[in-house]
Amino acid sequence: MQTKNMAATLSDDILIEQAKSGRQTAFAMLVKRYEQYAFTLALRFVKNREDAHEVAQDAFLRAFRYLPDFRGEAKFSTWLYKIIYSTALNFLRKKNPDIQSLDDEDRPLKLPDEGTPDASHAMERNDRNAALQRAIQMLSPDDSGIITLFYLYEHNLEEICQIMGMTMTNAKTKLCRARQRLKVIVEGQFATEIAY
Amino acid sequence: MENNFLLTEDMLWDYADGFLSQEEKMQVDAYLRQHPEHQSMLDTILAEKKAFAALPMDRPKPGFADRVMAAWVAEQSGNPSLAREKGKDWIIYGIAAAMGFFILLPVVLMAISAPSISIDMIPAEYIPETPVIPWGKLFTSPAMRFGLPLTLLFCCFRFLDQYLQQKKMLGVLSKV
Repeated sequence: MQTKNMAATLSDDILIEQAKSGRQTAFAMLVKRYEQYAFTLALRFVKNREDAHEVAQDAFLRAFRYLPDFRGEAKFSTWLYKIIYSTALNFLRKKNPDIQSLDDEDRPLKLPDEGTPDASHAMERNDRNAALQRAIQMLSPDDSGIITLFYLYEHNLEEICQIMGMTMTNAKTKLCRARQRLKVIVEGQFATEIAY
Repeated sequence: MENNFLLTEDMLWDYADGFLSQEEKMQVDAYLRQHPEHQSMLDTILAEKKAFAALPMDRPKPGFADRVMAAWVAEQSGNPSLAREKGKDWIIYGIAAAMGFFILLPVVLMAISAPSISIDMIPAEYIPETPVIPWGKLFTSPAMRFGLPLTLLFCCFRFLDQYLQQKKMLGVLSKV
């Protein structure tokens, strides 16, 4: 227990140094620390739990593979999320070769399939968080990704630009549009569940 | 200044998100002081921001970290083809190949050692009218005698391998 508490206090920098020197425990600690963040972000992009597991796992493996190249100029989380974003983009391109970006602005809003276990589970949890999460899931991958990164993970715009490879102006505009589209969904579909 | 100033919801979001310059921020502050009825709009935005930040994260399946580490350890062992949840499957494939060999060997040997005989050399009374499948002999054949225990052995090896992999991974993670 004491070892676990000590491990939790180790900074990312120390863990990365240890991982670079080949300590498997450091890799394991990084995975444990970021698994929920990575999975949630992957799920926002690919919209499917099974695919999100695959994307998150591939992203971790890619991150470890390229860890020696990580210079610490950005936060580890920013670097990892950038890998998750590109892994998700590659994954979706493989599934649908026509995809150029994860921003599909003209795509019609699509309700989650209520026959899937995820959706039915969310239906049961008729609370505000569940409704808000479902609303976010209905956004395009880029929109839900940027909202997750900015409001949930509290990354600043500069970091989001690094992760998603866009300019500051683009990121700001995209965030604004994502918020507006989310508002439309919330007001149209979840007005009763989400009331402030 | 005030006459030209129009407070929009987007501007309030930018205010809440910290995107406004100092000058723009002061303009919004001044406007809100003079029009307190708009304060509720800002309060709503702040509540929405709080709701976003309070969203619970999705949890991956139990054992996700173990699977990532197993894949990483496999990759590190120098065989990238084993990277995806394969562990030490080469042992299993080796055992399966050996078993396959031992199962097929008696059949091949029987086929080779059987005397070549022409149908004309067999008296007609010895030739059955309808072919009968010798099920009894089939179950006592060398293929079944060796194959069945070997299949069971394979299952035992597979189980043992899974158990050892899991134990190893738990050992790694318990040091975390």
